[in-house]
Amino acid sequence: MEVRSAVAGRSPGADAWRRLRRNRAALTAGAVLAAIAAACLLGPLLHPVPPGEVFWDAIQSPPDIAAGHPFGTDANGRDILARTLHGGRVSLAVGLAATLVSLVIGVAWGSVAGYAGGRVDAVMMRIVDVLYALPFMFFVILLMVFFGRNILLIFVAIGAVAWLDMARIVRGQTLSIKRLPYIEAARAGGLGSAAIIRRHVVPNALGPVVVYATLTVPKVILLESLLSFLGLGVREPATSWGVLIGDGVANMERAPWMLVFPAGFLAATLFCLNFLGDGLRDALDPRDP
Amino acid sequence: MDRGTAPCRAGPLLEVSGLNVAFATEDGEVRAVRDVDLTVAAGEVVGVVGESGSGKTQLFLAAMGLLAANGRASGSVRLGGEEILGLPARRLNRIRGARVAMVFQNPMTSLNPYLRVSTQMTEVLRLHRGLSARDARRRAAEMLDLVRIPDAARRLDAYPHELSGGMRQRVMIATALLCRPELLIADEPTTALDVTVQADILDLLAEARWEFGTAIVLITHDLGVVAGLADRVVVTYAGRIVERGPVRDLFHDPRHPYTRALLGCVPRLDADVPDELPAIPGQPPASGDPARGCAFLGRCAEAGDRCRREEPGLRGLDGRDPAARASACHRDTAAGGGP
Repeated sequence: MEVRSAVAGRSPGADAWRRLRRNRAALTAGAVLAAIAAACLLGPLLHPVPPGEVFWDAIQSPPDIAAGHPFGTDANGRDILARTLHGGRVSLAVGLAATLVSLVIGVAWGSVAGYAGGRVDAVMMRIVDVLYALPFMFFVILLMVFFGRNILLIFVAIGAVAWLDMARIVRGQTLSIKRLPYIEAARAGGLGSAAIIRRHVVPNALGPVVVYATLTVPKVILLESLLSFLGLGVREPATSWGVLIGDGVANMERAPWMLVFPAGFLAATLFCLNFLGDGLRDALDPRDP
Repeated sequence: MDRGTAPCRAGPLLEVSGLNVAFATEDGEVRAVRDVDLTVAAGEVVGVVGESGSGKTQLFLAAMGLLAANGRASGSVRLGGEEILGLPARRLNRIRGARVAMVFQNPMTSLNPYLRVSTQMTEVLRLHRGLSARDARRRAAEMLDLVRIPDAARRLDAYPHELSGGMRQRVMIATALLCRPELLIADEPTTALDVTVQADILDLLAEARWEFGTAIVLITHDLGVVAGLADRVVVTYAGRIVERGPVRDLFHDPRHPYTRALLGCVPRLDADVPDELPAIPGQPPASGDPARGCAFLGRCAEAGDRCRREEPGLRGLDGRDPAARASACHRDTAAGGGP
């Protein structure tokens, strides 16, 4: 078994995975990230306090494990731990979903534009430029006015912006990949453009794309936080880390725990994603042994 | 010379006539191939020899519709009597890989690093022959066996970086032969390989020709490669054909000064090696656009007045058909002692 794997079948992807596992910082970041995600998903089972429930006897009380509020309560007497975990669900979901959307649209758009080249490329990339120039806040406010506040709209709004960078990155990759001999060989073998893009261009462009995707997640989470902070994001009683931080900032002097805990979770998540992205970039760089 | 594995067919397999290839660049139009006529019969091996930039590769890329975006081809390319130059990509894709396959110079980068060998090999079979994944895999394994890759069934699951250069070129050749193409265009298939591996690869090509009756176009700058394998040789210079003929005639009695110079550059085993290896002095004309006269003018020791005035066309030698034995030199009749 040992010998066989040395002879045949170790993919470049598996090699990268091996290198990533040797990177302690990235590994730790991954573990912490997994713990945060698990806490947000399963936490409410272990700490079964409804995030909207008001504790009249504990308005804005400091953290107190004995009283059942390990992170304290907010100005309305709601449990901060429960709210942080629930907010985490929204923040992480927005981050992942918007990144996924940007990944799908960006990779498809960028690879087609790059591979087609010429006029098609010019038109497609000018569309990207135009969308890029659109003021994001204006766009979001417009959406809110027309469709009302809705968590789906936040996905749409953020996804609509995040895929632009991805498309540019993938296009750049595609431009260099399409000149490689194996693309020429595929064309000489009679493969159509769609098949070449799908089977030969996209898999080879994926390295930088994966790295960029891990860096997009924190960007999107921050963007959602910003929207929520401005009052354009998720609506009460639902919450997100951005909403909680917004509340926390307003009460920073009287009740610092309202800011510290959600901000701590957000910061830890962003740190971990950045470390993971860094680690992935190193792992996917074939020049590194 | 004609060893005749070719099936009976009215015309030649590949017939290129009046082919021109030009590239639009920032410095104006560059003509890479000029007025080339060429035929390849079924089952025949044709060597196309020339130095870098002589247009030998672009000639066949143009024929297969694989030119870069700024390239333009005009003229006529017929495959089995059917015009294929300027066909839409959809129809060309049914020819590429299935009827005409290509093998490229650099085996190190001709395979997609992220796909297993099996995936890349069976891709063509499934596309052109509509085989199931299972059947295609079996055929791929048989073909790897045929190109003498040891332990073929398991190598199928390898990734390209796990194979050596020679092995990768075998995989490329096996892939090219999978659909039993009528014509295999091998573009410098041995240039990037060790000499010992080179010989193996050439053996393989010769075998493919006898086994499947595949016609082969062997594009190379190495006359030694051509000598062992080709039936006929075409010598290109600055985008034109300057001499062609059966391999034996061309080697024993080269008529064009460029061919003679090329042959003079091949070190011989049966003679002392000179202190300095011979080279052809000078450079080929930039971007194949000589203002007037012969393109080889500046490097030719025998050039006369007429060479400066007009560009020589291809003329049949010794009263033979220009398609069979020809040279493009004004001096030939005088120097060669012909009529």
